[in-house]
This record gives sequence, structure tokens and C-alpha cells, in this order.
Amino acid sequence: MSATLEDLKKTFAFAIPADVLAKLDPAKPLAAQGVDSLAMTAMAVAMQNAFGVKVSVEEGLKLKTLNDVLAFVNKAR
Amino acid sequence: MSNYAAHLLLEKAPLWSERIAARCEGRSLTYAELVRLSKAMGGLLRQRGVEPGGKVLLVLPDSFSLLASFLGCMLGGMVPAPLNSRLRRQDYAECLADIEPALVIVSAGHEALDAAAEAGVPALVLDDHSLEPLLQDVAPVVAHPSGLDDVGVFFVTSGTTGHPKVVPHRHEDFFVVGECMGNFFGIRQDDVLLCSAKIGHAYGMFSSLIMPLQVGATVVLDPDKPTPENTLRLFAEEKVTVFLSVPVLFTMLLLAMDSPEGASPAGLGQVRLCFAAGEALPGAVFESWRAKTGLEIWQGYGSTETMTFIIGSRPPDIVPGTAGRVLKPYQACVLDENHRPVPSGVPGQIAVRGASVTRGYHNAPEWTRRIFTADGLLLTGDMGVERDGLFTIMGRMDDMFKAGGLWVSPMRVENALLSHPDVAQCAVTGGDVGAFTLVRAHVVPKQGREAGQELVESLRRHALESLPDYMVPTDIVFHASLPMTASGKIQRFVLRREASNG
Repeated sequence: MSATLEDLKKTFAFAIPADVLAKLDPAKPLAAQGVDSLAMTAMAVAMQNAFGVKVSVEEGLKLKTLNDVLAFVNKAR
Repeated sequence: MSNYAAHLLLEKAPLWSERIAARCEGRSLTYAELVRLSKAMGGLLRQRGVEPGGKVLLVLPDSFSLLASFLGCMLGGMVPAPLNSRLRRQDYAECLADIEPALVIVSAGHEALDAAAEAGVPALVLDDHSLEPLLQDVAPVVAHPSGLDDVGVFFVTSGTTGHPKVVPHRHEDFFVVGECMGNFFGIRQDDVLLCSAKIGHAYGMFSSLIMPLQVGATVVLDPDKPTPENTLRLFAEEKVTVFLSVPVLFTMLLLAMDSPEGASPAGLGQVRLCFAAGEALPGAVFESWRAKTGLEIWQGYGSTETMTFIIGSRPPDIVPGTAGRVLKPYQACVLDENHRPVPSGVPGQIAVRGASVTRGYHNAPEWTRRIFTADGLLLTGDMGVERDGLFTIMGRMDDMFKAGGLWVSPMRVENALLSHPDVAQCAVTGGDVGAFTLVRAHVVPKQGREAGQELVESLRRHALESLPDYMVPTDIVFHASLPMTASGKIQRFVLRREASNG
């Protein structure tokens, strides 16, 4: 079964402050919407743990938006 | 003049007194104003009873107040100790005990203020709004005839135990670093510099104070934690030409730059030189940056003990994955465990010699003894290898590591986690995910406690109460037991190896 945006948001809930998470536009870069490097790192860890995928440096640099992350997770699983 | 602050303020600044020395949150400070404020601050410190040779702790964001406090202190022969303002009360308490300052200059409401009160050290609360009124009518300090060998600054860095190590540098070290970095970067008077490392670090000190002020250039000070949005805004508004940062911010900028409205390469404005240090720059970040901006990221390797980069690489001589070549006037070599040089291509510990290397830690002869070889070479604690004059850094000899470009002491984090009621045992190591470096905690929960997401979140909240945010573990892995030596010491290297293979 494919993951959904809601699944992602649930997974990232502890990594990103609630007010930032609530306002996230899935089509815009996370780094431009108040998600700092510590939150970004925590998200990458949560994504690896929850969906059992591993991100390389090259792939990580392409995961800019929530939509990018969703597509990556569903392709990698 | 051998007093470095006197050199900058009394010999250099008058050559370009109407130029802008610094910009901060849209405000400008000319060189003439910087000289006046620094002299008055020196006068105020003397009025408050700080004698030449006396120490002053500075816990301020990068700001005009910090520049004037630092330079005023040094000008009057006092010793400023600029500290990272993201540390916590316990860290400041330890610095106060080690440095024994006569005064603490600090922002309102800061944890360092409580630590000063508890230690009975007088504090001066300061920000850029109170700076001018405070210094009105204060008689300027007379430049103190400090010698080249006199201590000009105390930097604080973290040791393996989590206890701060105080690294003194002399006035002469400032002249040496100024010349070395000035030559390497080729900073010009019309440059506008922005450095994401704060002035409390040696990296921030030479980038935001020494390099710009010695040639009459302009430094842009960002009092806040650097973010990609802020950085891109400052590039545009302040017409930044030289950008010095850590790998994680380049990664964040790459991740932020593709926004539909703020299109990419244009976001760099007039930036002509990008530089990364503090951690190894991943090759993929270097390549993506070049593809997107047309600029190759210069790199450097150094430490608080050397006060500057002693190895560096710049175009056209950048070999991704290496730190570069030894810079003048330093010597670097790779040693075996008996401190004998190894042949080219054989890994060992990197050791350094050169004019700005510290003579040793403040009040810590045991630590000092450990970092120098019998020949007087500084042992960096970093493993590395040299091939054809190019150095590659391979990691630490001890358990220290960096996350997001900042030092993390595993013991400091472990002690914080062990004070959580559900933790039986833990060990902390560095790790990475994608291009990010992180703090990873390996935790054995107490019997009957459930190892799950709830405990992860509880541990992170608990850690945040006493640790700087960048030391809070991002990844928490539960174990039934931890690998131990026969003598009962946790083997962090085994955990590191397991994690990188898994």
C-alpha cells in the first residue's frame, strides 16, 4: 500500500514544530518554510525508520518538498 | 603597535574611517564609530574595575555590541573570552569557574546571566540599543602596551568529557592569522563578508572581525541562528561578496533555492567566493553547488588550537574529498602512534606546527601535555592521510564528533540522558543521514520500560532541558545491551561501526 501525505505528516510530527507542520505546502521546499537543519535531519531519520528506506547524499539533495519525499518513499518501498 | 586591537583601531581604521565596518539588521556602523565605541567600552570596563590582564566573558550575539566589547577589552589590555551563546547554564558555570572573569557582558534574559549571579560575578547586560547611551560621556581607554606574547583572547572549545577547554591565543596570533587568511582569501576593501560561524568561534573571529577590519571591508552580522531564508535575504539586501559557512548550510541552501518564486542562481546575488569548513563537505554538495551557481566551494581545515585554517583548497586546485594543501606559514605532517612521521599514503594522526598554534590550555597542564609531541608539534586528534601534498581528513582519534559543524562531546550528552528515569545505560556517537551529520544515542531502557516512539520523544524533551539544541540526539536507537570492554567501558567504536554497516 502506498504511503500518503497524511502518513508522512504523522511520521514527521515529532520532528517539526506543530505550527510549522500545519502550514506546510507540500509543493514548496521544506527548507524555505521554516524547517531548520535539525528538523530536516530528524525528518530524514524518521523517514528511514518508518518506511525502511535509506537516503544517499545525492538522493537527499533532491528531496526538497513533501511531495518529493512522498514520491521517493513510494518508489523505494 | 603590538596590541592587535590598537593596530586595527588606531593604525588601520583611520585610513578608511568613513567606510562601513559592519552592518547588522539593516543598521550601519562606520569605522570611525567602531573606534569611538570600542575606546569607550574599554574605558567603561576599566571604570568597572577590570584591570589589564583581567578577563571578560562575552555572551552576546554577533552584533555591534560584541565587536565594540571585544575590541575595547583587547585595546585596554584585558582578555575577552567570547562564548557561543547557544550553550547552557551548566557550560557557562564551568567557564566562569575556569576563566575567573572580572565581568560578564551578556544579553538580557540569557542563561549565562543566571550562571554569573550564582558565581557572584558582576554582569553587564548589553544589546545594540543600550550600547550608545551606556557609553555616552565615558572617557576612552588608553591603549594598553600589550606585547606580542601577551594573551589577547580566550576561546572555549569542548573536550571529550564535556568540560570546556580554554584556549588562549596571543596578540601575535591575530597578526599571523590575519596575514595567513588574508593571503588565502584575498579579501579586498570592497568586499562584503558574511560568515555563518559566530564570532565566539575562531572561525567566526577571523572571518567576521580580523579579515574585514584589517583591510577596511564590511562585515554583515547576523545575530540569529543562520537559516537558508535569512542567508538568501542577506545575500540580496547586503550585496554579500564572500560567504563563509559550514557544509550543512550549503545543503540547506540547495534544498531551499528551488522555490518557484525565488529562482535559484540569482539568489546568490554578487557572491563571488563560497567557503566551507567545520566538517568535511560531501562531494555531492560540492558538485550540486557548482552545477547550480557556477561557483566551486573553497574548503579549509583547522582548529581552535591553531586559530585558523592550516590546510585549505581553492580553485583551480580543489580535489573533492580532500581538505587541500598546507597553507603558509604552517607545517603539517602525519604521525604514527609513536609520533614518528609515516610515509605518504599511510594514515595516521595529523600534527601541526606554526606561529599561531596555542602554547597550551588555560589552567590545564595535563591536557596541554597530551596535545604536544616531544618535538613541539600539536597533535590535532584527527586521523588523516597525505598524498602528493594533499591531505584527506578521516575522522577523530577520540570519541568527539561534530554535528552540523559544531563539536559534540558524547559524555556530555550521555550524562544528560542518564538522568532520565527510564534509561539504564547509554552511549552517544556521531552519525549521518543523507548530507546531514547527527547525534545518535544508543539506549538501554530500564527493565520494564517500553522502548518506543513515546520514550524517544520523552528522551529528546529531557535532553533539551540541559543541552544546547544541536547536541540533542536526532536518532535514538534502543538496544538490549551495549558492547563493553572487559573493564566495563562502553565501546562506542563498535556502535559506530554497526551503524555504518547497517
